[in-house]
Amino acid sequence: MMDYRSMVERIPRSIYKRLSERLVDALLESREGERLPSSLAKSILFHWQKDTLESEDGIAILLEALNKLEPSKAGSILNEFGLRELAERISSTQ
Amino acid sequence: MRFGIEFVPMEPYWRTVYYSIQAERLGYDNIWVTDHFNNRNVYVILSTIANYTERITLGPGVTNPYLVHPVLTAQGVASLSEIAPGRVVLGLGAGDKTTLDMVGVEQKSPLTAVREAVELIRRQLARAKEGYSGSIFKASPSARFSFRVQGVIPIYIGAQGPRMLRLAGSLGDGILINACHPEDVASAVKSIREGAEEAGRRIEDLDIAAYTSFSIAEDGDKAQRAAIPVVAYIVAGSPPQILSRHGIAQEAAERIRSKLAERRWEEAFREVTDEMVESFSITGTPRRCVEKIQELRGKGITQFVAGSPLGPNVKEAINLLGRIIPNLRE
Repeated sequence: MMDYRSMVERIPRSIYKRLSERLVDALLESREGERLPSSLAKSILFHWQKDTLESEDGIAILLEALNKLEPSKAGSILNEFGLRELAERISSTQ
Repeated sequence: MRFGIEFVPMEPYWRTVYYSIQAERLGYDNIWVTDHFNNRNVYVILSTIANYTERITLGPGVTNPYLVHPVLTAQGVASLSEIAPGRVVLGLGAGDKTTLDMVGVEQKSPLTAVREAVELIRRQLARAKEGYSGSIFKASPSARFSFRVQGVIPIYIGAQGPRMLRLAGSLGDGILINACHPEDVASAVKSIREGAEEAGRRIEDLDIAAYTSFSIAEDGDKAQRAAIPVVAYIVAGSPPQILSRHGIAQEAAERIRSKLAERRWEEAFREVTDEMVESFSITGTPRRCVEKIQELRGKGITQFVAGSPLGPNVKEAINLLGRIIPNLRE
């Protein structure tokens, strides 16, 4: 089972905000939205309500959610941000 | 002026709740959730929104007494008020004939049905000891709630035609005018005023909302294109006198109606003209939308409701309107 929290710890803090926004947009636009498990959906909403989607925990939840819905999209977003090693780790779990 | 936003729960619940939190944070005043049996249940969505928000007012916009008996509507909003005390509103209208036809329900005596529904709901919310006996709806004294309502729940009446608008002016705490064009809104406000004055009420005491089809984007063309599917349905469902007021031929509306009925969506949408979009929606860049909203305010509205589709990108649209709300309040 992938440890998303430890993955996020390897991401530079300077890109947390932009990465979080990008992941949220991908989730909101995904055609697979109905497949998101309610437990993950509630975690996203909890962090959004507390305005902590840009925190390590918030990004870990977003990454896990997008990886559930659209793994290739999750990988390509990580690549966009130059996080190739993490993108490969995500791809290797599929 | 107050600002409301409409959500149609076609999307997974978490997206509607995400957008609701966003709207609350940006200073919107009201969330209206539509009530259609082919979408997610309005009270399930509203109670979830209520759990994730603190300030924003929320309610069905609109439900109807043909598919949901007024005692159940009263129960729904009263239960919601326990989760969101003091911030629940109720939007009630006569329903949409096309939707009622789908389940074989006749839209009989709409004015009486709405009036009696409002009266019965008010009695239920007040936990009145006496029952209600109308020509359509009845409730015995034993139908009284077993629990208390938290706060006051204003009832807004959704209306388009002059008679329903007059009824709304005489009876509602607020009115949801189903129109976007300044001429339609001005005419609606006139009818509301007549209804209010006949009932010895002051129009200034009512919240008059323009419930619009709205689409905003930095790129005005994209905003307009996003509105086309919604406008197609509005044109298809508009009565002849409304079409004629906007110079739209019956035949053009009929072509759209038949193509939608045959599920030939793209062909139906191609029939929608720029004039139709202009008549039945508010679309464009933020600057253009500000101008149009200001024009509606000049016609007497006290709440602007941004309804579907909101824009080509919903999150961005909520942000764009949210940014101009402070200027529009001044």
